[in-house]
Amino acid sequence: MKITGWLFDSYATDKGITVWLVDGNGKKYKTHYHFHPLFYLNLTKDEEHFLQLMRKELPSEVSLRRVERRDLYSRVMIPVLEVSLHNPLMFQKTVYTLSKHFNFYKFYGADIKVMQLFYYITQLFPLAYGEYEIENDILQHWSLLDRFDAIDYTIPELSVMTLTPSMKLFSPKYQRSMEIEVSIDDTTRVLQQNDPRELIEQINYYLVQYDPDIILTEYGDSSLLPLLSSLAEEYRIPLHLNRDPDARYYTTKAQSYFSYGSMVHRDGVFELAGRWHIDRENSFIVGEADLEGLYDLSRMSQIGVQHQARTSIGSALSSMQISWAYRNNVLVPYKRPIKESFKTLSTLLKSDRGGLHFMPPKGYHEQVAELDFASMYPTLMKNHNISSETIDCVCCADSSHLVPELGYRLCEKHTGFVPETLTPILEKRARYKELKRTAATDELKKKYDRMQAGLKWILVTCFGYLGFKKSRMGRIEAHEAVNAFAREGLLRAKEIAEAKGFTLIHAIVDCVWLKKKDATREEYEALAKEIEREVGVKISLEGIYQWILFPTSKMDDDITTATRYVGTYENGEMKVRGLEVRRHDTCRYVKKMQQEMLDVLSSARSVAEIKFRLPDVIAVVKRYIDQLNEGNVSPFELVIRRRISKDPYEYANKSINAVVSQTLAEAGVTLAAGESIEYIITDASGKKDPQKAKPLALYALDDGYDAKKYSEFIFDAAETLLQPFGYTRKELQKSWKEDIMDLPLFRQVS
Amino acid sequence: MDKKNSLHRIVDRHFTAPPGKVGLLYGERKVYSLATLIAVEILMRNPAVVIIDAANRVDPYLFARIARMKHIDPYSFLDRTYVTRAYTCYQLDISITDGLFQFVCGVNAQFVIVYGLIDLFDDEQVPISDVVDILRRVRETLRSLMLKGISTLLVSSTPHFKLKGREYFFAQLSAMADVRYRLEQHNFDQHIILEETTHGKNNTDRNNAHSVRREQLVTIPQGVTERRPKRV
Repeated sequence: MKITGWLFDSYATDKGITVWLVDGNGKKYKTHYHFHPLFYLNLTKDEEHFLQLMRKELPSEVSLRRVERRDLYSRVMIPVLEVSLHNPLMFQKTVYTLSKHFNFYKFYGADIKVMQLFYYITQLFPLAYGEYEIENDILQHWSLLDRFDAIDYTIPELSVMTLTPSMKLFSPKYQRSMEIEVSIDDTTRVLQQNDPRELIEQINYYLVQYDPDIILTEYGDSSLLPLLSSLAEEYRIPLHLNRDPDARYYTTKAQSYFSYGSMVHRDGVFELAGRWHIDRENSFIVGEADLEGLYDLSRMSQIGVQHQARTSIGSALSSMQISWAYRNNVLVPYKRPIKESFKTLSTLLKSDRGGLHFMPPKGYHEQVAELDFASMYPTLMKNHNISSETIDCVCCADSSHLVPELGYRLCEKHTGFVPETLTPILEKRARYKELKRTAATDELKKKYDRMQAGLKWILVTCFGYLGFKKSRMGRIEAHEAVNAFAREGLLRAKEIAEAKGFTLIHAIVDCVWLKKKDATREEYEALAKEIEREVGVKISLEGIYQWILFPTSKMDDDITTATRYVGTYENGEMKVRGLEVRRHDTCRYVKKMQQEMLDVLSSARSVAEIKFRLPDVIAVVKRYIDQLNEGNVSPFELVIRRRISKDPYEYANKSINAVVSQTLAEAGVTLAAGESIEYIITDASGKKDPQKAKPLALYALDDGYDAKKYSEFIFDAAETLLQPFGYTRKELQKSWKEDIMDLPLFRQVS
Repeated sequence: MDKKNSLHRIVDRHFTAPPGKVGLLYGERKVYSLATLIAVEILMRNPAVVIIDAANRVDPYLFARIARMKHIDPYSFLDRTYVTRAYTCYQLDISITDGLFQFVCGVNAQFVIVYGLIDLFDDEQVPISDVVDILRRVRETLRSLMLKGISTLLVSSTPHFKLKGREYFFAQLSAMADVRYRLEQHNFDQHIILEETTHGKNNTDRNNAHSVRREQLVTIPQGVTERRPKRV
């Protein structure tokens, strides 16, 4: 039987891979594909003989075959032993058993998941459209009418059932009993948990009746599905979350870990068989790019849709690189990373640096233009062929392509795997942006925007991943080389601009802010073209600000910070970065106040007009302070959200985070390091109330709030915009006792 | 006690004369600053020093600062100190066991310093069997370096392993060393304590051979900071 349709879902079994297909009419087919996952060993003859002897002791029957594969760094074909397993579920155990006898450096591709091996070896991918040949439910072969990096492709019509907790104010973790909302085809019903049997039966009814392809949830991984499955187990009622009744759920535990200096918590996963479960609360990519972006990324990375929804962007990138390796017969290193070459400390001083910053002068400025390099780092990686194996390669000892400042040689004969994998992403994203620009409808515009957003995150992470310590094929010198080219590019842009009479106001890595008296838009665009020609990376005029503010650092009045600014473009659009209104740890009340201040300023076309509006801006501050002091603010607007860095009882101090997380723990809500807490400050000093703050879940209206502390937040946020006119936080607080409206204006204009 | 003489004494007595020893220096925070001082002492009398940094603690600015304190061009130190950094224990393994001797000979160094040899073993993704393998290979390499007259100083902060069952790696680290020093800190005073030297063929400094001996060798002067000085 031939099916023309899409590959929908796949998972490993002890005999191979179960593959679900869906045809153009929405009909699903469960098929089986005989698949033997494999890895490689680089053994001596004696070791090979020993392996032959111990074959029968291995957890799975194996087939051995001598083959030749290319070494990633030397590019030399080396003879290796291909070990293919008859039972895919025994892959890890077999590697583990063998690793007791053979040095781990002798293994290649031995820590790749079976499902990924299936995709890499067959070069299939999720939602691949093609003609699939099936006999007796066995998938025999296929002919794809699709490519993993295709831009125009179709996806099947997928039915969606939504499961969410009906109480949305708190995470289900904070709720003792739960009502679940089920939504299908614009119809929503609430299921109560009073009788667990009834709840399971109702869920089963919807699952059987509607047979959804996707179960879309909020908190499905952390709470909803684990709760339903444990209830089903307790009351011994089969729960039909899986479409495949013979398969089990794929679950993992939650974990906390350090990432970029802060503690992060990741919920466990709850994946289904034959049907997708996607938890909006546990998916970065769905949050950023919605389902369209997820499907697109999943096809590119060849990671199953459910898994891609939960995994990191770095894993997607890594998957694309490994797939490239399998397509090109290159061995994937197991635990043998490339070491950093010895360098002198003077070279280290030059190489161990990031992007370039030129700090802006503090205060308000007029007629400043912003020029941004588009995808600068990935473009440099592509243009200069920067990859782990192309730096100081064995084949180009006399390469003339050198890394600036550092002198590392770059390969001139072979394209590295990093540029190879980045090129289709760069091209695809550029095409999506073009399609978005020319889209006929808003809906299409949104669709292409979501799709380019999904790819954007790969481009954002690709540079960092080169230097990530656990990146399988990363290399620190490649990471350093990208930074060196970026610094060179930014400096070149500065030189070109200055030679044409522009003044550099500010620069951050891949953006420059320039100024020139009476410069027109056309002049800036001409400048951008010249920089693009010289640096080799597209740079475009983001806009010309009528005014822009670079506030001073909260730590030091004399300096600014690179990533905090606000300004209005000529078209009146406002751009805000790093201010309180954009920060996740600012309460809604303070955000609203600062937004109102900005709204007043937004119509100003010059600094003089800003000064003219200052009384109105200060009036906003006064109004918000008055409301606070009168006790008229809704506590929900004062909720502060923070992430705890430790488990509740690991705190040695009595900080608000410690007190709140311990209060929650005593109330039966156990939080792990990296999870978020929400609270309202009741007495920051702890003098009247040692509890300092109340968790939102336990808050009662008569708990009140600490008006003094919240007014400090208000003054802080006001200071950010008013400080250049002499209104510091202290000044504002001091004057407040008299009357803030009597403050003299323009005390010390900078 | 005079700092220069004391450090001279440590370097002379326990590492350079006669050459070919493995030493362990461990202690709290400033142990890496002290290792920098020792590296500088070695550079004063040798063409080069090689550092394998698995603790991400090599600080070129500190080398430069010490050079300025000694009225020496910082680049005379920076250009003769060779470093490779390791971020996983597998990188550390190959940094030591794959081509180190050839490199050391190539730059005419007689001294290797390894920062944080066991720090990277506190990783749940690294099986203990891998650690045992790596330690065995490292031990063999250090021994072969020693026999060729190249001394190694292992520098480690006092171990605080998060994972249970990995504490004994410190004992293994100690067992690799002919001589062991501990950096002690009491308020603002810091002392290097000679804790132990071992008998046997590894010990080439027969005059000081003893099983356990506690000796205060040097007081670290204040002002040798771990990081760059604060902006004034």
